[in-house]
Amino acid sequence: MDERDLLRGNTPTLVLAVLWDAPLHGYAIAREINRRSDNALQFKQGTLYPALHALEKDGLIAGEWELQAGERPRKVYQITEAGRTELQRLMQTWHRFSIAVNTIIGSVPHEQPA
Amino acid sequence: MSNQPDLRIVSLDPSDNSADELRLFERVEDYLDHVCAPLVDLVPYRARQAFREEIRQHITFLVEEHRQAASLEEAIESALQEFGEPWMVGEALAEEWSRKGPLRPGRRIGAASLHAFSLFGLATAINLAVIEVSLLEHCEEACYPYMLFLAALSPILAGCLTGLKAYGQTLRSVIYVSLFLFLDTLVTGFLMLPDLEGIHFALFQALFWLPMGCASAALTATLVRSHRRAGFLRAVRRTG
Repeated sequence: MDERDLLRGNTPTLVLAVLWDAPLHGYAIAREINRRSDNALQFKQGTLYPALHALEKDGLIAGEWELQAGERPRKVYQITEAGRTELQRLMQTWHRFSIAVNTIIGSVPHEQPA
Repeated sequence: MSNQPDLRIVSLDPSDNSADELRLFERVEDYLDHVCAPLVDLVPYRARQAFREEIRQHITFLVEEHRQAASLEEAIESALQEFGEPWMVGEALAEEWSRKGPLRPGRRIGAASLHAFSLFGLATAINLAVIEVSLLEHCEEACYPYMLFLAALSPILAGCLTGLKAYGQTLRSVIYVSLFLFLDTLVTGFLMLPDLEGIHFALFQALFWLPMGCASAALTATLVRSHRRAGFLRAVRRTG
């Protein structure tokens, strides 16, 4: 399993987290994930849309088409109350999981690759 | 705000551009055709156009970003590369579209389930009728090869016809319908006791109909979808 596999499984969590503060459109969500991770999380941005659609279908985010004068319509997503609750749950799960993994791998001596 | 986009034709903005630039914008439209191809006949037109418009917007932002340090041609290629393989994006969207969301009251029964139910239900009814007639006529042993042939052929035929008529969400529909019909036949089988033919047929449905029905329905649906996608892309290229 590489970083991309890890990222794919956690895309919904990252999307919910970046939408916590403000509604964003798809491109802005992708860039916000890049920015907050200091570009450590790189992914094919097309993979974002199935995740967005899944979250919308599950009622965790809501998408609305914004029509602005002189501009093309743009779909903006915002987190719902159910999404906030789900993110809290995901964060707790992630926290427990990361503590458990760190405990196990922390006992292994770390060697620098040659 | 509204729930659906304005469905006017929106391009990347080819106005005031040279023929070369127009050709590059067409490169993006071609990419979008490939993204949308797996969604044809699965996702309704308006929803598909909404996906297309949303992805076009995203790519436009990426092109603008890359254009600061590259030519338009290079910027478009980098943007498309960053967005990912169009077929993978389209297939992922199609898969997500087919996934069942949280159960909501009054959720409508899909066309695929209705097709599967009619075809597999008819096949079950015919098979049960043949079993009953053979029992009434006391010709079980003589009729056995014909009954077996009919029972073996039924799920393949029903599966192929289901895949042909309803090529979206086919597999799930066939699984649900087959399980329901298995339980129905099992009850009928108990009512037919002490004759065991009904129970045997129920077991045959669970062990043979379910996998064969699913396999033939899924295979046919896949073939129909790829045939229609190819037709869609051919039509797009002709009009382009």
